Parts: sequence; structure tokens; C-alpha cells
Amino acid sequence: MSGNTFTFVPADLDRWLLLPLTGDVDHEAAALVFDRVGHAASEDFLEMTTAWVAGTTRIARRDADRLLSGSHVPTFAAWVLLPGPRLLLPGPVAFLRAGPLAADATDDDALGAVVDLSAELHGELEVEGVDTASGPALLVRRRPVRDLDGVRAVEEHRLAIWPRPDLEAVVSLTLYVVDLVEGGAAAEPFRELATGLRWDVT
Amino acid sequence: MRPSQRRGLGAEAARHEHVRVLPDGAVELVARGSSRRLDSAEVRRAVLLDPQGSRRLLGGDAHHAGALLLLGPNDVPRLALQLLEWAPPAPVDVVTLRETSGVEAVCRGLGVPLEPADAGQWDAATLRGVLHSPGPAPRWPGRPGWWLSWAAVLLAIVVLLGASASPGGRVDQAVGDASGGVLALLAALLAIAVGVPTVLGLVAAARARRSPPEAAAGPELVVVPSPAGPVPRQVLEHELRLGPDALQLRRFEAVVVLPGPLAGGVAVAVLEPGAVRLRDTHGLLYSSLRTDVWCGDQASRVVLRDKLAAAGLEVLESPVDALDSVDHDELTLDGSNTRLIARPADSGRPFDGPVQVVAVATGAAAMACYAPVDSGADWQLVPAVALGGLCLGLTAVLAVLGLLERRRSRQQQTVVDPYRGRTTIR
Repeated sequence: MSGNTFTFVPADLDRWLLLPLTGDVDHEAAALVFDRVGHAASEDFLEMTTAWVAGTTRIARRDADRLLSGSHVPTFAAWVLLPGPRLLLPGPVAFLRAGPLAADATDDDALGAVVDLSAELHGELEVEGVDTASGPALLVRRRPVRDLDGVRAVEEHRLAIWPRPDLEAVVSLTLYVVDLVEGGAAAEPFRELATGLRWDVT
Repeated sequence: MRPSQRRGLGAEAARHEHVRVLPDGAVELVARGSSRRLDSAEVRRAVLLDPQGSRRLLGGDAHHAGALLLLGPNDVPRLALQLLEWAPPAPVDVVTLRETSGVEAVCRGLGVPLEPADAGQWDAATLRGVLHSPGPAPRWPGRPGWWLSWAAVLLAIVVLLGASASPGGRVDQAVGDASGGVLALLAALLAIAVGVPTVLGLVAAARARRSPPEAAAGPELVVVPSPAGPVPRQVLEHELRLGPDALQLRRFEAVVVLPGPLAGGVAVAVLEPGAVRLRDTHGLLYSSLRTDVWCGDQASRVVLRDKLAAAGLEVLESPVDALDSVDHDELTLDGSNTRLIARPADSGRPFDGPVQVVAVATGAAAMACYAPVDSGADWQLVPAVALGGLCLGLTAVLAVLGLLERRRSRQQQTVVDPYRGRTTIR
């Protein structure tokens, strides 16, 4: 996909807040929050909300930089899942990324290119084919098991995968949630984001 | 998991009941003098029913925060626990409540992750069959008792109106001899059906209130309020008992036991200007006490700090208040919030409503019973007198209990200035 330009048009969804991955973090975060709440909010609220949006953006940018320098995987966008419609409070972050894929790759190969299929899972890997604004995709739910200081922790990983062997690329939207109950609550907003997301390569 | 705060007949449950996971993976439900066990093979998954599903399938109070379901093979429910029945007093969000109620600890003990429940998987009868609620069960006849009471009043009014409308007050000429007698006896039976369990419940609750708190099994420090100014007498009866395994908090006669530092619960006390926060090592809030009630001056603040530290809690000072509210119970000094969230069964009442309705029902039924007798219907004499007398007795007992409760309430509301020894009646 090198040499091509990736563009996307996110649907206007009230459960997701698109983070500014470019520009001055503090300035962009303040503008974003002001755009969402306008003059109705108090100074304290604006200040507090801008602080967490800027903090979350910094973490997202750091992850994006780390992945780009380590694996050459670009991150095109990041959204915060809000706990309620237009409720500006912190939540897990979904990332839109793209990686290499062989020209003759199958859907299973695309899945394997995005996640570690040999990792220990709690329960079965769930894969569902869906039609999205950007073409056919796979909606995936997996529950990887992690060992945290001797404690067995199960997290929820939700993905939307667009295998594009014609572009020799796989585009993915991924969301990690640290517990299964919150992961279950994220299912519908994630499906809404994935199916409404329109991306293109020019 | 330990029950949320309970008063009256439920206070014993608050002190002794708990749910725990044993080292062999079995789940044990412990009440005073009894226990029930679910073997590890019987529990395969732990799922959380959301508040909407909990309200629809488990019913009960209007407020729901969800329910923990332990499922056996083939996802057959083995045990259901409603979160708010096991919640510490701090008002927290549902995610925090999962931790502070002990739900997450139970899952960790079982070695299974907490998963979201599919509410459409079970019907209400199945889940209610495995629902375990701490404390006394709702007293018979429960909510229908309210309607039974009003039915008794209605029947009695029909009989009495019939008697008053007939020439010479003869009920037999207005509603018929047999009909009047039958209606009066039916009113009496309905009133007795509600009145007897109500009286027994109120007496049992009064006895439970009078029984002194039991001595703890281990070492214990007791903190009592030291208010900044005059407070109702009942506030001075609050106490916080500090032990290494558990903290027992009693306010407005309501008791709650919080897990202590050795049980992975409250381990940190943060002294803020306006509140004393009881938190675990992760900062999760279990309870917030008003400083103007519990340590109103610098000397009592030092005493409180020393006792908290002696009980094994890490004590921190904060120059600013956290954003969290204090406990619902601490928002007022008259105990109205605590009474508002109390369960009818804990006070001995069969239903959630004024107990005076039962007294009205028994009184009206007694009057109706004597109307047919007055009309001269001989066959009704013995049952009418007997049931009417019983209704009259129940009315008298309910009236006395009501007066005693009113007097006790007035005494508790007496404003006391702990520093001057001056007493004024509000």
C-alpha cells in the first residue's frame, strides 16, 4: 500500500470521540471539547475534560508511534468509546490501522495478520461476516488470557477486519476492553462504528 | 460478599451473613447457625445481569444495579445475588460496585472471569428460584397485605352503612341478615390475616432493636461520634467498630459490615476537611463519614486518627475534599434517608406502607363484627364476638405499638449538645 493515500470519513456517532492524532495536542484537545460542548459547559468542566482528552490523545499517539517505528504499521485514527451518548468521560480507545497482506491471502490469513491465533483464549473465537460502508468485513470477538502477576486475567478484544489482497493490505479497527462485562457493553457501539466507517485508498 | 446495611430484624443478617469462596473452589453461603454450599463442579461460569434484566427477571425494589449469576453445566443458574443487596454504603458507579460488593473477588476465587449475561436466556421463575437475599424473607402476606387491609375496610364500611341505613340500625334489613354477618366475618378474617403477622413482626423488630450488639470474636476498637455541635440524640448512638477482618458501622440502627484490611477490603482512611473516606488499597470507596459528626474538633480528629491507625488502617490526611458524596445516611441527621431505604421486612411490616392501615382495617372489622350482633342474629353471635374481639385486641396492640414507636422517635430526635449537656426538645 506504499505510495497510496489512506482517507476515511468517520460517521458522526454520539458514542465515539475522534481523537486528534496530528497538531498540537493541547490546542486540538481544547478545540475538540469546545466543539462538542460549546458555551454550555463550565470552565471547570472544560478544563477537566480537555485534560483527559489531551492525556488520552498523548497515549494514543505514543502507541501509534511505537507501532509505526517497531512494525511499520500506520495508525490512521483513534476514537474514545464514551460511556453514554455524547457523555464526555474517558473510556477504551479504538484504533484504525493497516498492515501488509499477501496478494493471494484468504480471510483466515488476514485474521492471522492482525491477531495472534495461537494465543490462549477464554472461550471460542467468534467471527462474523458483515457488510460495511467500506465493503465486506469480518467482525471478530476474542478473549485473550493474560497473566498479571500470577493472576489470570481475561480481556476482550473486538476487531473489524477488511482484508484487501488487491491492495496487499489488511485494514483493521481494534478495541481492547479490560473486562468482559464492559466488552459486552461495547459490542453495539463498536459494530455501529465499524459498519458506518468509510475509508478508501487513493 | 457481605449484605448491605440492614436494621431491625435484618441487622443480624448484616452482622453474620456472607458469601465466600472456599479454597477448594466451593461457594459457601453463611448465615448465623447455618450454611449452604455449592461445590466447585456446580459452578462453571459467573455472569452479570444488567440492571434492566435484573429488574425484569428478579423484581423486588425499583432500584437495581444488576445481579451476579453463578451458572452450572449447560448454563443452568445455581445462584443469583442482587448487587444492591450486597453493596457497601458509599454511592459509587456500577463498575466500582462490582469490586466493592465482592463480586469480582468471588470471580477471582472461582478462577472464572465475570461475563455479561444474556438476559433472554432464562425466565423469571428460574432465576427467582435461585435468588438468595440476605436477611428475613418478606413477611406474609407481603404486598397483597396492603390490598387485604383495604378490602377489609371496604367490607366493614358496607356492613356499617347497611346497619346505619336500616330502620333502627338493623343490618339484616339493609344488607340481609346472612349477608351482613358473612361480610362482617369476612372483613374480620382479612384484617386478622394481615393484623396477626404485622403485630408479631413489629414485636419481633422491637425486641431485635433492644438486643445489645454482640462482642466481636477478635480485638476491636470502637469509634463513636464526636459532633461539632448539637445533634439529634440518635446520632450519638452511631458507632464504628474496627477490627482487622471487618469494620462494623452502625448508624440510625442500621448495621453494615465492611471487609477490613486483612480481608482485602477497607485498608486506608483518608481524613479530608469534610469527610472521612474509607477506601481499599486501590482507592475504591466503601464509606464516607461526615467529619462534623464523627470528629468535630481537632482533639477528636486526633483520637479518630489514632484509633484508625491502631486498627491497622493506613491513615492519610488530605487538605481538600474528594468529589465523592458522603454516604446517603450521612446526608441528614434525622435518619430519614436511612429509614427511606430500609426494607419493610426488617421493621416487621408485611408490606411497604404505613402500618396504620392495618390498624384501621382491624378496627373497622371489629366494628363491623358487632353490627350484626347488634341486629340480633343469634347464629353469628359466637364467631362475631370472637373475631370482633380479636380484631379489637389487634387494634389496641397496634395503637400501643404505634404510640411507643412515636415516643421513641421523639426521644431519638431530641437535640443534644454533647459539650454543654444542655437538652432542648425540637
